[in-house]
Amino acid sequence: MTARTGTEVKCYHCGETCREEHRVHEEKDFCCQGCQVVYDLLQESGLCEYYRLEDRPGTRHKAAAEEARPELFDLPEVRDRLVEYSEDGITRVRLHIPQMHCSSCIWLLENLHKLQPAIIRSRVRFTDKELTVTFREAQLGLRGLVELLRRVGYGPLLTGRSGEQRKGPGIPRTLYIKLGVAGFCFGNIMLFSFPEYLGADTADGTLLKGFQFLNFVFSLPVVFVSSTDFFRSAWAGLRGRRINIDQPIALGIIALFLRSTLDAVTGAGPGYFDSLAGLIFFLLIGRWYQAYTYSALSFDRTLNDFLPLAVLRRKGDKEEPASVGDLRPGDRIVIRDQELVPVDAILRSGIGNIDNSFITGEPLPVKRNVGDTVRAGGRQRGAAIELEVLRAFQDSHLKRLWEEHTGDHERPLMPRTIDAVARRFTVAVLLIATGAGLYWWGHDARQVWPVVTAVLIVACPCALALAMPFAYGHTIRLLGRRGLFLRDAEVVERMAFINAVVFDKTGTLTAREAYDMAFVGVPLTAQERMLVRSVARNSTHPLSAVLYNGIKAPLKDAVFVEEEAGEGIGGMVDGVTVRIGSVRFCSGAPVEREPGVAQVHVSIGGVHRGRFDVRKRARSGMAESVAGIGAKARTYLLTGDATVDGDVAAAFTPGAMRTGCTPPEKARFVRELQADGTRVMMVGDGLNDAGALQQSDIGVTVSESSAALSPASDAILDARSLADLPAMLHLARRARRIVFASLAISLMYNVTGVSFAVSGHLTPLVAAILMPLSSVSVVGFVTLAIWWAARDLGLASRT
Amino acid sequence: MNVIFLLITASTIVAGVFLAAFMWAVKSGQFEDDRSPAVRMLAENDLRSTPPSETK
Repeated sequence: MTARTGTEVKCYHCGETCREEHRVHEEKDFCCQGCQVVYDLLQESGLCEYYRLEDRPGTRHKAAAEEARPELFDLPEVRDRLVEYSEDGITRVRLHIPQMHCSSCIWLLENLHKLQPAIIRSRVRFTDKELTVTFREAQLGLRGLVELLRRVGYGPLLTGRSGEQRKGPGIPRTLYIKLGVAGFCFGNIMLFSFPEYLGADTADGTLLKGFQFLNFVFSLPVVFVSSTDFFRSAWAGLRGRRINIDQPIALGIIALFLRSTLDAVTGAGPGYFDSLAGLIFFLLIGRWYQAYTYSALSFDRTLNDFLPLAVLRRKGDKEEPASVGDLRPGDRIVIRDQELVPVDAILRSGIGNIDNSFITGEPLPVKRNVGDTVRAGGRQRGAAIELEVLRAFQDSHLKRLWEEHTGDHERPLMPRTIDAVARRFTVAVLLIATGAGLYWWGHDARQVWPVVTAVLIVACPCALALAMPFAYGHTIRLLGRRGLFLRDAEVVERMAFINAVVFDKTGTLTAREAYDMAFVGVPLTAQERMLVRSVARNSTHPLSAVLYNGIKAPLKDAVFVEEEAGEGIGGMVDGVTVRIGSVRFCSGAPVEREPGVAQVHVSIGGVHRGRFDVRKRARSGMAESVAGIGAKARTYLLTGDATVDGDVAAAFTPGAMRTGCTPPEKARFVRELQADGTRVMMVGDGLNDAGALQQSDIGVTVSESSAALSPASDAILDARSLADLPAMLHLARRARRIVFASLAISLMYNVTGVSFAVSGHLTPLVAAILMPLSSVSVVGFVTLAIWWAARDLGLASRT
Repeated sequence: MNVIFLLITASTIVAGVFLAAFMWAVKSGQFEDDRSPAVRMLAENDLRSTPPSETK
């Protein structure tokens, strides 16, 4: 069962490339101890089906740094949030597990009872990445459950929003019901209408009368249940003195229903019940298509989503979990490796090695000594530290930064094309109806009512209302397959207008954890490279990891390893002392530090040998992406760093780069661009971009995994798809053009219909053919055209 | 010809039953998660061969 691609060996559990820790166990390759342990656990419990459902389904342990510590689940406040039900020792909890991603995950999570008999039942809701577990609390406990989940690599995420009732699924249940009712009635009414159209023996009047009556009965739920949304929206528009697309639709529905009922009652004709039901059925399908969203991704984030719900507070010599909101200035808190500091605090003991990537996108940690201030949002990397709370959570720098961004939300509203079209359309329909009414008033007064209603019926902009949801819905789906997830259909339309794109640098155009390194000094010998790598392996510092992964050399065991946090690591290999770290640590002469480049100095046998210059690598496809967008729109670069270097600088014109930007300055820059009507797309990642993302017409966050922390935005772009961004923008523009073409087609149908109507020839049969025909052909055209455009731009296939 | 009224009544009732079944399905949340039930079905056989009570 080993998979060898070239010389690379992939882990049987998680699919990562096996490196130094590579181990072979039961003829299977594992990349680390952790993966092997999970495998053994599943093996023992007869759960190896896990590996059969999908290839290498596991999640690696290191990826789970955001998981909450199990002891926090003992906190009554946390328990209350998660527990849905608890009676007679049987408890049901709902946990958020963003790591689940495939069939195997679902399978394993639903078979937890095989691992732990105290678990009675577990159910996954994949779309929300939620797991509901029913278990005997006396035997296991919530904490035990969480520990079990962590052991198999599915530790639940605990943030301020965990356990909160979600807004519900992406598509509301009522929409399905309405759609079902409309479809049901539509089918029946069609059946009952056939005899009429086929001219069945009209001698038997009672039969046709009976059918008409049934049609009337079936049309009632269609009008009074299924079409409520259209009436509501039309009414809301009326009250706000705005014309929207739902007003002509509502007018058409009313005209259809009244005319048909009157016809049926007076015996003037069979009525248009089938057209009525069909119309609403098609319109609801459009609504359903439009409601499609990526409900598992959260576009609306609150600060609570990011911060831990609770931290360890030290009281005397005891440590107890405390909720973040309860922390008061002066409290002592303990933050361990990989944990977020939730409030502004002063370091009191230990050495801080703070990674601010959540705030700035910069993954290299900075050193903090005792007495230094650590800002909320930093992540500790390294040994546990103790901090004294400086400000309560409400007053923290992070909270202020956040509120600054989300408080004044003055996004310039863009007029929706459909509303502009609807306005003209409605006016035209009313004019035609009045004109035709006046004409027939002069010629044959009995024809006024039928003609006016016929105009309103046939002018009902069904195809018009369908074109946009289908065009944009289809675009959303195609873009989603390629790694760009949009909040809703309106974002597609806004995307079509974008003529300036502003990029953040750190974390957006540069990769979070990919580096280039170069050695400065007399080149190291193979023996020396082995020494450096063997020592670097003992450190968890990201720069050591860069060295370890970047140097090609065999490994030997290092002894007397000593790490000085924030400075470097030293050790002895083969009797030689090796030190890697800061200049001081390696007793070298101080060197000018180039901005944006981290230096790792090396000393071997007590002699400074030189240094590695480590710089962040630009994301693959970055240059193509910026150049591609630059062909159609202006491009800008904003960064908090002092300078921009290398590939990133080469991609932009010098005038289009702003360095040293604070978060408010980024937002201001976007606002200034917008001042002359420029439509700006902001592409960013960290919380320091949140203000600019909010200010821009479309905020796009670049994310390396869907579970990663990213600020609120309109769209989420998978970092691997960065190169596709120009084509994606192009597709949005094409989609808008396709919508216009389909509007032209549907108007053509309307003109044809109206010409039947004004002349008094709109029989129920003509309506029954014309209306579905127009809807179906418009939807078909739009779907094919969008697909064709995507294929043309190379976006049609899955990545 | 009167038999047709009987037939129509019967067929409408049958159709109504299906509509009710659909509504029940929607209300019980069957349209909300379209991924996990598919997987659940694949794993069902295995569940029966080793029922939970047999494991430790």
